[in-house]
Amino acid sequence: MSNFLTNFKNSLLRLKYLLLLQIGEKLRPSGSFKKRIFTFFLKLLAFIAVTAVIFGVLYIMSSLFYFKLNSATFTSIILLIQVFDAFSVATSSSNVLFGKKENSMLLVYPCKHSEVFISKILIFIYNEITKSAFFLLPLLLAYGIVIKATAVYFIFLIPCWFLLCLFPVFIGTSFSVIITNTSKFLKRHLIIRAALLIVVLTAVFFFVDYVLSLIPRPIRIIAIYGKFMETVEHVFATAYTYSLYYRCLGNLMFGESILLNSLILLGALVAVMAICFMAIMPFFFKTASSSAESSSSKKRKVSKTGKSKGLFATFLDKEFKLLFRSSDNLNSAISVILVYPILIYVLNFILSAINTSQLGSFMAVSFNVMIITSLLSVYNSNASTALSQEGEGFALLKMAPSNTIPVCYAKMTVIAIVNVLAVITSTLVLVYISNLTTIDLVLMVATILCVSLGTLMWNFTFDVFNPKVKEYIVKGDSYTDNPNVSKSVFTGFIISIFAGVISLLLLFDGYISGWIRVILLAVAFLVIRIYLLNSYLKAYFNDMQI
Amino acid sequence: MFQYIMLFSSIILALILTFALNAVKEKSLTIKNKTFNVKNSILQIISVALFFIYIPHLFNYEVITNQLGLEVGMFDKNTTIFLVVLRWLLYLTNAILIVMPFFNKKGPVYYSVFFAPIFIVLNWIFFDKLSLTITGSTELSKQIIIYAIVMVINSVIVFNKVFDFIFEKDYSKIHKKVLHGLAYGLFYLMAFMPINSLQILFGSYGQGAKNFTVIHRIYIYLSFIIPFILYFLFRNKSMSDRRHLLIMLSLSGFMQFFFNRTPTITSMPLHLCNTAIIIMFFVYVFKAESAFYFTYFVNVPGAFFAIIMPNGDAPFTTFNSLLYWYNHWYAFFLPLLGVALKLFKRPSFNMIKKAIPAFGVYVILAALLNGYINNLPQYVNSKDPAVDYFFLYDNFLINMLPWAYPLKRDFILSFPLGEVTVKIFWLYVLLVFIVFIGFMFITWGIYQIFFNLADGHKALFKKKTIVNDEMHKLIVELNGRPLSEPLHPEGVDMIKIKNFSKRYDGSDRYAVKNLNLEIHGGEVFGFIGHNGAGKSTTIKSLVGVQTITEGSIEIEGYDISRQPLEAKLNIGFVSDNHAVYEQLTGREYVEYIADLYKVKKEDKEKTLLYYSDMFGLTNFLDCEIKSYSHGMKQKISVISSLIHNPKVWVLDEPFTGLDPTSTYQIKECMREHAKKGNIVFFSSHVIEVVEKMCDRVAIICAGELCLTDTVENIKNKNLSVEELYLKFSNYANAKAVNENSSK
Repeated sequence: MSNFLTNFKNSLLRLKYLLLLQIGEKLRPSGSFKKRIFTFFLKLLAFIAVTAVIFGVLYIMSSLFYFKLNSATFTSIILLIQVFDAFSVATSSSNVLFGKKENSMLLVYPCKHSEVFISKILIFIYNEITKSAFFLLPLLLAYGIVIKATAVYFIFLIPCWFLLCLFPVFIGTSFSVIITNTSKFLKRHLIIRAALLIVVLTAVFFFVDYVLSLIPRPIRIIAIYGKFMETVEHVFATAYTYSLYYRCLGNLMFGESILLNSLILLGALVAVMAICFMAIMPFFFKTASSSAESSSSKKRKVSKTGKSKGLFATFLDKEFKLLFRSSDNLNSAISVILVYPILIYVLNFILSAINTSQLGSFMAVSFNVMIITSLLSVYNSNASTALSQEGEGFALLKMAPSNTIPVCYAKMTVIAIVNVLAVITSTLVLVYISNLTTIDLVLMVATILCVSLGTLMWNFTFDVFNPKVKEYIVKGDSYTDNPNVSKSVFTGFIISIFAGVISLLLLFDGYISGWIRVILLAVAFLVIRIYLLNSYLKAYFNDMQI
Repeated sequence: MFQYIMLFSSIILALILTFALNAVKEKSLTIKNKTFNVKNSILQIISVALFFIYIPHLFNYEVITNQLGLEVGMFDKNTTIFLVVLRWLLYLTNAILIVMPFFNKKGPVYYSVFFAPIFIVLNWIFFDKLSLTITGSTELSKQIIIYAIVMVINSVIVFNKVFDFIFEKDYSKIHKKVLHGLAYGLFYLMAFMPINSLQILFGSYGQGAKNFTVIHRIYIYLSFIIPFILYFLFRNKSMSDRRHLLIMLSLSGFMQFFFNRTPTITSMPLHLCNTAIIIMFFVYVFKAESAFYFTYFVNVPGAFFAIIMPNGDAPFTTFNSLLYWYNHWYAFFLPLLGVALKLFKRPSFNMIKKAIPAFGVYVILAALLNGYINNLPQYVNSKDPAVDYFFLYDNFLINMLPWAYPLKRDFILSFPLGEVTVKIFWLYVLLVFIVFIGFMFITWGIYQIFFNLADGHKALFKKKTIVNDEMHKLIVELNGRPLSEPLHPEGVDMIKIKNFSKRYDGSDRYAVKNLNLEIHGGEVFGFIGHNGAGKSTTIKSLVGVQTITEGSIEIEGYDISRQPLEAKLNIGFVSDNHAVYEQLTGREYVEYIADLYKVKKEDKEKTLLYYSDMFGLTNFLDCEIKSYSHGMKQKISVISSLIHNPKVWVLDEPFTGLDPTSTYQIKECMREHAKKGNIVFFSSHVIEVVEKMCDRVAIICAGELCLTDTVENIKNKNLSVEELYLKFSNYANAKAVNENSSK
């Protein structure tokens, strides 16, 4: 017994050190006592603000839009959030559990593999808790306030929230081995991956098309609203019927059959934990260590060594090769080109189904400008890490005995091509679905391209002005809090809104003069960004260093 | 007759004043450790007196305002036009004279000497007609007497300037002085237009400026264009000139507010932008920071909304319309210019917190006054409120959100104050206050964005200037030779490191301090030192991956900082961490590097074949680098660094992690390369290899070069490289320990 206790104690100690090693810097308090208190109050304010906003949304939906806030709604909302969370955990677990470089260090330490696995699960739980503390918890709290729930609801709020944090972690982890092995298989078989992607996207497209076909045309929002709400309630009721776990959770929080529901919830949790620890944990070491093994690579076709290319062509060639050989980057590019048009299809289906006046068609143009440029701006944020992500390879760029500008334009060209292809595919969708005239379409596409490419160049200047080369060298792809990325997404978003609003105002002011001004402004924006990018490169590239 | 007596009396007074002032012009007075020039001080006192007499004079309704257009009026068309223009010029002259003594500027002086006397004389000649325009009568009323006093003071100041000019007898470049005075006057002409002038000349003409009509848009564009123009014109001028500009503009706003108003209880400057106009003048005169930041955070957004959503649509030539636009333009851009032209510092976030209580006080005052004045017996039954300070009483704001009307209507605080029942819409006032604070924070955010943009562009411009200057210096030093030639041709076949120092950003410590080295062609040069000594720092600066803090590094006569492209063409570099693109195959990687160095096809193939055979990589060239072992990656780095046959081959710890065969192969490569007359410069921890391979060796310790000598010399002294290395390492460690303990 005492041996068992000693072993258990040692195990806990090792677990503690593993946790501190991996997330110690997040757990360690930083700054003075005053600063920490101030940070705590800021977070509390943020929590209150989020709760207030969710309260406001739920209140307006229930009082103005006749949205029923009952058990079925509660269960469905929670189910939806949990599905997303579980999916997120499942996809990230593949990398975090098995793919991270630190595994080669952690597995070497005098710890059991199971302890390393448990430490990673605990990190997932910690991340899930911190993430949901500013969304799920305020949502539960606001929901309870809106429906004027009883005290029982609020008593069970924290424990149930905790359960909701744990469940997706274990569910997601349970799928991690399957996802990892499937991912590896698909990486090795490019054709199957491409075929699967096309099949999935086609299925998604047809599903979306089917759903949209159910909406009566022309759309009279007020007329169909009742039917729409009935459909939603029917879906919620179905979800309520089939999601036993969340039904029990809802019932528990509303004070029904407390003991029975508690037992069911705990039982379900124990079951998924058992799957996780008994079915996945034994495979942890094999899967994690196989990621670290050098894989033998099949030979690539010998390219005939041609004439020496120009600098721009050399870099462009290299960038394309890296793009096609990096599945993450390629997937990201393909999703932009093929998935965004689906979103545009949905938006324009709805817009085209609404009987609109001329103002309506102007609004359609401005919405499309806004939505397409903001979608592209998310992808364009890659430009804000283009140089820094080279990491050690940045030394090669610095040593290149050539002008830097072709180097940078080569990097941006790849992203720009994805932009253009995405715009082309979106345009094809628009030709098919929207009511816009040809002139409107052409001018709109030109505007979108100018704004999008201008934003791309702006994002690139963030990297030139504030490079993070060292961080990428040290942390590699796990460096996820690059401030340039959030800055570029925010900037892109604001520019998209401006572009949409300004195009609407100018078109409303006068059709022909409006379009002339829109195009001129868009072109001017692009030209200015090109000029500024060149200036930044000439001024600051030489100062960038490892 | 009266006016001529006044004119001549003014001239006499001016003459007396001139003599009196000249008598004291060298004298100064010290009060509380501040020295004042007596002459200047007297002139300033006169100007202040002029200000305090003139402003109340303006604060009266002018009868001529009733004249709309040139059709109906007291005078014929030509006389009306003449009087309007003369009044305008006098208005401008008065403003110039108020400000002139406080600044040492030539413009106002030349205006006063060459132009103002004409207007002053015309004023006296047409005094009776000008009096008619004010009161409608030529009788000597209180208003006319005050006007006469103002003109006497003006005349005295102007003629004093004329006499000063005559007595100085400096008539050189007189035409330039005249033009200067004219330009000065023209510059401020529009700012000091009496705003009933267009109405008198044109009547109620033109569109109302509302709902984005053409005139509304022009006004909006001007709100942004005018401050930009002023900023670019004045940003490089002296602080005195910038302050003068802002005082003149704020005085214009001040005067415009009082001009032509009937002085009643309802014409107090308490509507937000009116308050701003009054405050701005005192802010710029007395440099009152707190009041300035109040206007910066509170008035600017308020004025912006007033410009975008004007609450009146009077035709644009009318008094009301021009008053509205002048007022709100000034309230909008004067504070912005104050920061842009650096009269006031950019506000910190703390200042917005200070502005909130001040704004709160204003809101409470405005609500109280609204509630009191509108319920006075003479106004209580009026259809429209008598006053509506900050829109806290009338329905202007609430009409935009009709659903919120019950929030105003149903929450009223009433209390008696004397005979008046004061009514305050307390909830409405509170909500407006809160929403406006939100706008203040948004404004703060927008300011920050623009500040960051401006700083970024300024830094960029400065940097570009430095880069261009460097290029220019290089061209001068090359002395007619093309840029592709080495700066120091005598440095061909050499690496020359001169006084090289490197300090990383954010660190006080130098990673390398004052390093001097020369390495010649044909040498294999070893560079050794303990961990953190500065080897990699030196090497990375040598190959151009890092910048140089001080000193210079020349490769084959090319300065790595100033002729980087030419220098880098001569360098091949093997990094300590074999930085390669792992998704490329070995062949693709080498070809990529070869293309960077513009290696010809035949040379590329030949070199690749030769080295891949040497290193045994031929069968692996078409596999992705990520499948290579550490040694193979190192070898591919070596091949790529030699593909262009560089004159300088730099290797940073090339033998780390290599098996003996690979180590031998690389050593052979190094020897062979040096034999061809090239430089091989490498760092290593493997001292035996350094000793065997190198012709010369340098030891660096704690950023400083401790030793440079040939290996042969060292051996001749019965020493080994290892002994020397350990000696210097220990010394460096001891030094570091001493430094730490002394801290």
